[in-house]
Amino acid sequence: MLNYAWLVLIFPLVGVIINAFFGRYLGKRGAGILASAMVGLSFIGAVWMFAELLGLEDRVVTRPLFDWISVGDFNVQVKLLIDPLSSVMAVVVSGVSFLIHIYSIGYMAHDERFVRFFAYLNLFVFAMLTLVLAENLLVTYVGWEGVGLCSYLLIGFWFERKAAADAGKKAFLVNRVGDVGFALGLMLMFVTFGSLSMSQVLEQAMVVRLMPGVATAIALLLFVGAVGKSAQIPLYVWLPDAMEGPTPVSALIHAATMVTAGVYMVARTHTLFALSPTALTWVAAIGGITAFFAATIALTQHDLKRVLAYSTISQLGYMFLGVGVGAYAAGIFHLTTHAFFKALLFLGAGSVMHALAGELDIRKMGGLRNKIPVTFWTFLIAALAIAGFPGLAGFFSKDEILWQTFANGKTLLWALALLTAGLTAFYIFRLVFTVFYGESRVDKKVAAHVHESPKVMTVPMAFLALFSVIAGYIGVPKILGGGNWIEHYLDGSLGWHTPEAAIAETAHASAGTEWALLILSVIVALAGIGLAYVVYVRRTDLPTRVAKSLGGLYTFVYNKYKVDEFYMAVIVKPLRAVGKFFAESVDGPVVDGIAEGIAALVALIGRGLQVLQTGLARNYALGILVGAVLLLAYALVR
Amino acid sequence: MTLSSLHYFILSAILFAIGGIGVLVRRNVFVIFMCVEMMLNAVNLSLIAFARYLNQADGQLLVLFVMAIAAAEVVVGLAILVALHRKRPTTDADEMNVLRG
Amino acid sequence: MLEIILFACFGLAAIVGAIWVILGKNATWSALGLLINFCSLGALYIMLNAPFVGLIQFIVYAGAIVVMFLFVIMLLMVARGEGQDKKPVQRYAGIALAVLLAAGLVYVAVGAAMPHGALPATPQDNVRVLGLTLFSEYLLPLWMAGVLFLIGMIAVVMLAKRKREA
Repeated sequence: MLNYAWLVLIFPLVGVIINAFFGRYLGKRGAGILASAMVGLSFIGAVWMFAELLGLEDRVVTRPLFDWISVGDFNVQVKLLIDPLSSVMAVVVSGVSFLIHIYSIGYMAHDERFVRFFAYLNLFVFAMLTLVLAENLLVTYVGWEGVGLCSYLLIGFWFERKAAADAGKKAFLVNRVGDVGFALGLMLMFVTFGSLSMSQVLEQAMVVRLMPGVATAIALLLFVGAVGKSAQIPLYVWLPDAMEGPTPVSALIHAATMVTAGVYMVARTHTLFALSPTALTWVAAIGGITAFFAATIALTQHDLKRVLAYSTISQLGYMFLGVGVGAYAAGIFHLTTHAFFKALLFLGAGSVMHALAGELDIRKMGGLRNKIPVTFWTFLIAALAIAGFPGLAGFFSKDEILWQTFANGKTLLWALALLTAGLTAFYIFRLVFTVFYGESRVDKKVAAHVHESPKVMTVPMAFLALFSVIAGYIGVPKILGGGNWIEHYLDGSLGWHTPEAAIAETAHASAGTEWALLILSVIVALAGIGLAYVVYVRRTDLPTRVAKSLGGLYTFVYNKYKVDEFYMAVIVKPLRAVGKFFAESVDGPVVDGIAEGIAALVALIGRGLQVLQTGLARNYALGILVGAVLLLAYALVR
Repeated sequence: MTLSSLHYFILSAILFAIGGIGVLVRRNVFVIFMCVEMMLNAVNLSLIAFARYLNQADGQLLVLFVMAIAAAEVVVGLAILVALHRKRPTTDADEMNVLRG
Repeated sequence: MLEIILFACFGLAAIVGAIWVILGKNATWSALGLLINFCSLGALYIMLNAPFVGLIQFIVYAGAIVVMFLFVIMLLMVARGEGQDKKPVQRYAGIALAVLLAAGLVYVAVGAAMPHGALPATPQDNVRVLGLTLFSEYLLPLWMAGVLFLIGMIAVVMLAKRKREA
């Protein structure tokens, strides 16, 4: 299968082509099944690759496909890189995509642009797998922009709604800021190392003695790209608005896969990051602060999907914290588990919306536990997983990050992350309790029609629930009797062995400390859940009272720290003013003036030469002859 | 005295000039068209003569291509004249001056 | 000697044909002059060791093209003379310039070293040599000529077809 790795990429592309051009002949069911089947085949291929890789001694495999650009010193080869890191990522991406494709068949069943939706979704999978499997960073960049495009198209999928169209534009523009950073990073990388091929860059980075500033600049520029795509401070503002898109899109693109591309990219190029402690500190700090910051916003929001969106930002912050302290494997591990339970949370939210005719405000829900039991149970499992309940996926991965942060001596960030873990448990169970427990606050009209989603939606949710439970067992830490398999497996990735990782290994404290921290984080998680139970089930008057007593602070957090307003005032409005100035004083009189002046001149000359145009072919022929004679005369005289 | 390419070339130049005069002097579009064909043929003659006196086949091939293109040109040109005649039943080139500036 | 006589005869015939064309009272007369001109040139080609091209000249020019001219003239019934030329300047300028051009060309040719090597006549080989060169060295131009004909055919159909009244 390794020799046919390109098939993994091609299947979704075939799906795009067929659905885009012939989808309307297939009918809704056909188009949905085709798209799902293509991603399913891709998934089988990815698993096959993964299995084959396990049997190899040297687990870094490259497969060249074709030469893309070859100009002077600049050579770009489209080449697939299959190593533990990319194979794990490919399996996660294609697997989650497959389940969400199937779910979408049910969820989008009544949408008139059904076929287009699946074409976009397949295109997204193609772009994402390109990003993951590319060996050359320029090809990665192509995939990077491709997923950005799909994200834009899918956020604005219901473009009749102004909010959706605006959200799409916002996502595109904010991402552009990050992408510029990424592009600059690639250029600097090419200037420094003379290549954009991953293996060559990493090889060079080990050998070449760089000025420390250069390494930091490259790493930070790449990180700017990651910040944009993975929605970290200060570029996270697009992700909450992106919830205007269809819910499966939120689950697939804005929770499980695309937004983790930044984490993947940092892990992929971490050799460069390892060269610059400054850059790593920035990554860890931004990650830790974002995790906390977003979690606080999530506490106050009333929109089901927005809470999940802020939760995603917060969890991505965890991943960056992990890679920022040099625990790349822990970051990728959390990425993997998060993909399952966060996708499941979104699909659960979608199922709730489906049951309540599109309602998203959690104040208008409640008591749904018995009405939609499958949704409730799967949602509960995912909530337990994200809260870090012992034994579930999120517990192992989050704890690994916390432990590595502590072991690295970043105590302040560790404390912040621990606090965030408590907040996470609290806000997610706030959702569970307000949506599924207590009195029903559903509109009378809607309440009559509450129903469980069809099998095509609940079965993928059940699978994701299964993975939310078991995915953690690929990375059970040593003190719990596990072998931390994923860390060892990922160790075989391209350029993975670095001095920094070794330092993290030696800096670890005693087993006793690790046990203490483990128990502490379990207590924090349970405390969060318990507090949520007290506040939202027992003493339902508490939330409003707390909100009132906090007063201004609560409103400030509820308004998302007014970051959008701040950006509007500091960036958007001045830019608009500059644009207006140039439009009115430069574009009009100067640019248009030059263009119109030239046009007027041409018209003037034309009027002068008009006389020559007699319309008589004979006159023109005479002109030719005069020319011929003059040429001959010139040749003779010369 | 033996013939050389010079004689053929002079003949070709004379025929070319006569054709040119015809194009410039006549106003009947058909005759103008015929004169254009004649000019093409005059050039063909010198090509064949050079091919002969340089002992190379290329000149003859060039003539074949000129003929091919001339044939296409005649066909399209006559079709244009037929189409034109429908709009404006005249053969006088001087009356076809709609495109004057 | 025979060659010179033949050259003189056919050359004169070509010139006479050409003058006939430009003096013809109407297009039909001119077409007959054109026929004489083409035939004489064909004969000259054969004299110049180019029998294949000469035959093509007879078939394509003297045959097809002249007939097509006549056909269109008959079809449109336009065999009529011309009125008074309203722009005599054009006429005199044209004649003068054409004569000047011919004189200039002859002047250049006489001054230059024109090829005159009389070579053994091998007309038997003519078609074979032409064919080999045409289908090897000149293959691409040949194809392009074919495409040109196709385009010409389509163009003629489009031009000649009567547009349906809107």
